[in-house]
Amino acid sequence: MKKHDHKRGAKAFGMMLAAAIAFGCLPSSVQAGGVPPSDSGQTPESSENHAGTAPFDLSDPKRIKTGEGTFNATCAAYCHGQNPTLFVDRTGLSEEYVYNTIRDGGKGATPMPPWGDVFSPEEIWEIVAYLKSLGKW
Amino acid sequence: MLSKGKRGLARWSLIACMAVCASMAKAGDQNWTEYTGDKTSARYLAGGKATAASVKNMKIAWRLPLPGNDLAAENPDLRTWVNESTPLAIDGIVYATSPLGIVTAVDGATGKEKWLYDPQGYLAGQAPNLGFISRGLTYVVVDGQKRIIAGTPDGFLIMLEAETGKVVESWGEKGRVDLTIHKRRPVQRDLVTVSSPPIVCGGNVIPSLAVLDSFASGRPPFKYHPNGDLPAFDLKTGKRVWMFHNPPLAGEAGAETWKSGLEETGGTNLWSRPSCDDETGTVYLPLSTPSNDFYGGHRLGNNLFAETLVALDGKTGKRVWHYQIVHHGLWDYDIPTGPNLMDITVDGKKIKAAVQVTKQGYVYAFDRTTGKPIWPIDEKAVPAGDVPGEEYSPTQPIPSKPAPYIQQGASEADLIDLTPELKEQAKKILNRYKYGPLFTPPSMEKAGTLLVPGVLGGASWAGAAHNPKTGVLYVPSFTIPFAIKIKKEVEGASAHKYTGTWAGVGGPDGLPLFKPPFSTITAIDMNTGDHKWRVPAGRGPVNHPAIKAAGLDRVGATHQSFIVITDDIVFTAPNGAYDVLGLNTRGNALIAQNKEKQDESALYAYDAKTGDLLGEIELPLGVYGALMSYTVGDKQFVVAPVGGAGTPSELVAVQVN
Repeated sequence: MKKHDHKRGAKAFGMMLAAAIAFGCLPSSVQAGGVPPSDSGQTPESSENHAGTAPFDLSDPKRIKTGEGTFNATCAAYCHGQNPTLFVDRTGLSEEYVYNTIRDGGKGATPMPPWGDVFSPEEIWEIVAYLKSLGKW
Repeated sequence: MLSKGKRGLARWSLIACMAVCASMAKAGDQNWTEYTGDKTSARYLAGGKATAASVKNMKIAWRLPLPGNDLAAENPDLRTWVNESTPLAIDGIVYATSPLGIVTAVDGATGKEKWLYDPQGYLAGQAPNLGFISRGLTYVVVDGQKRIIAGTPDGFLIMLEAETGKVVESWGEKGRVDLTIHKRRPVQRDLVTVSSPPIVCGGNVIPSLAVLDSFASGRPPFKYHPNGDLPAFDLKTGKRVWMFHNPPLAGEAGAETWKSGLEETGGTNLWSRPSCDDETGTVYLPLSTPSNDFYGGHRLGNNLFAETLVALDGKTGKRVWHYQIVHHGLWDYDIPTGPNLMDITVDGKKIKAAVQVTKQGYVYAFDRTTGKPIWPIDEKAVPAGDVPGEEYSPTQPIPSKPAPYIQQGASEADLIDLTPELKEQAKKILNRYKYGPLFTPPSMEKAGTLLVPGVLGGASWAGAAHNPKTGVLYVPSFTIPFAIKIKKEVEGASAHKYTGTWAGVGGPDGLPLFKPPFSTITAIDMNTGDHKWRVPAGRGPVNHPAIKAAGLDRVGATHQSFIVITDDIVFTAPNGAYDVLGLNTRGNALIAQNKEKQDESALYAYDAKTGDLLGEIELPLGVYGALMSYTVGDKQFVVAPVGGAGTPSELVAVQVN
């Protein structure tokens, strides 16, 4: 029987980080379940188009509620799930990164579709508000 | 030899003594010898002991952690998908595989492990698409010797002695057959996996093999994506005896349906488990979608034998007949399960039938000897799209009977309307997408095209059950619409100019987008083609704050349901809820987290004649694999695979009488 290749494991770990960052994935709660940590402290430079800043207070409960509805209708079914594990108690994200990932999708690194043509910037910011309300970032 | 690995793989203990302790196996016990109950894919237990009265008092008899849970917990490379591993039960022995492909035999009378064999098929890396999935095992008797054939995550078949778990060294290469080399071109190991168990038909072993699907991983298609070439191996020697080329080789029958892409196109594989008529030795292959799933500008034509039900002589591999269910597929409506082989009587004429349920919601019924449709199947016009380079099939085959068992296509009239507010919000969501009738093709417009049913079904890999005595077919189905948006690929990064991104689509306030029922069980009398009854498959979100006031009893779970039947009872269990987290370490598979708190994890028992709900029991963790059932002594058990994906994988047995 072959032994487990630790070198290959290390390489794979690097790939994991790349994939995880592209998808914006991996919550702290899942790290305990066996997935390597992604909170390298880096904010990925994922887009040349900057998101700018949120046009409203991201802690506004009404905006959070609206964002939750949008998330549940478009992001939860089959993929992220409601009360998504990926974002509950999540650390290490930034508003701009989350905004850009929703807008641009997985860009070939993951199957996540881009939502920039579907939602207005305001609607994307509402999803950001909802995800921020779940996490610790 | 028994390989237990280093990490205490054998550390799986019975939580409770198996309830069969009291009664030793004996003649008359009803076995579950095949993944789908038998080779006709009936999912039916003859001689079941459950009654309308007994299912009111079902109880959990035992829980069995599957081996490898510790490996999956400790090593992120070995994180598994949800647990889809369904065991066999033969003469008092339970044979189980696990998500990592570790095989065990447990004495059903004592709960004691008889043997454990770990092929260590996970060392080569994670399996593609959804990662580590091993749905079941194959049991066969060869020259009087009981054998188990196991598929591994890294693309091997292994033959084991059922009595001891020892590898049958005389079979194949030291007990193994390597499926990656039995193709027209060898394929990379991390692009394939054995998720469904092989079938033995006509004296040969015919393997199912999942191949990397861009749909799941988002990985751009390669020029030579792994294709559907299907080998068969001699049951006694393991030597390859034939190969069915899919797509066909140039000059072979079916090649004329390819105007381009014949040699390069991948997919079209046998992914799910086929059915076999042991009397004739004919194997019925439910074949998959060509690559890529949503764009076919590089594979113009109808693309035989993609999304085709193909009957082959299991002994020789010669094609007996075929019927293409979807021409030039663009919806990932691959055939998700082997056909139900039923003997029915239509208009006074006895027919040996092959009855195929589909993701798109139709039942296609054929005379399985000739391939002739039992009721007319008409080529009907379907919408075209406008993605550059694409050539759309102008028609698709539409059965005149039976009636569809699920909503097909989308319109405003289909939207959830339990309150005016919900309807208004649903309209807003619907208008984000292009939508229309069934077979509206994927689009670059808006957020893409809304596929209803979605890529998961309709009917799904959970399949359908049938009663061989009555000719009644029981079809679980559900509706999760999917949005498919076609995107242009960066030149050089992908073998195809366009591919599709996908997303499941929900409705307002976390409810589904369309009217209930959100999932159903439909009983169809295949002697007449008429529906007998149709009921919601589960309770569903009746207590959701937005609809609680409506006082609905049951609206159907928002997932697929697994099914097993007896003469009197239809048992179903809705699929659990999980979250997709992203890609795995190697970028070839999605990873998920099982929800520890499930809204609806239950086994339901319905009256097979009326569909009336007779009983239910809550199950621990989410159910994710096919149900099975067996009897020992005077007890009947229904077993469900639960957990996985960040939680322990277990089997849960419910005593139903």
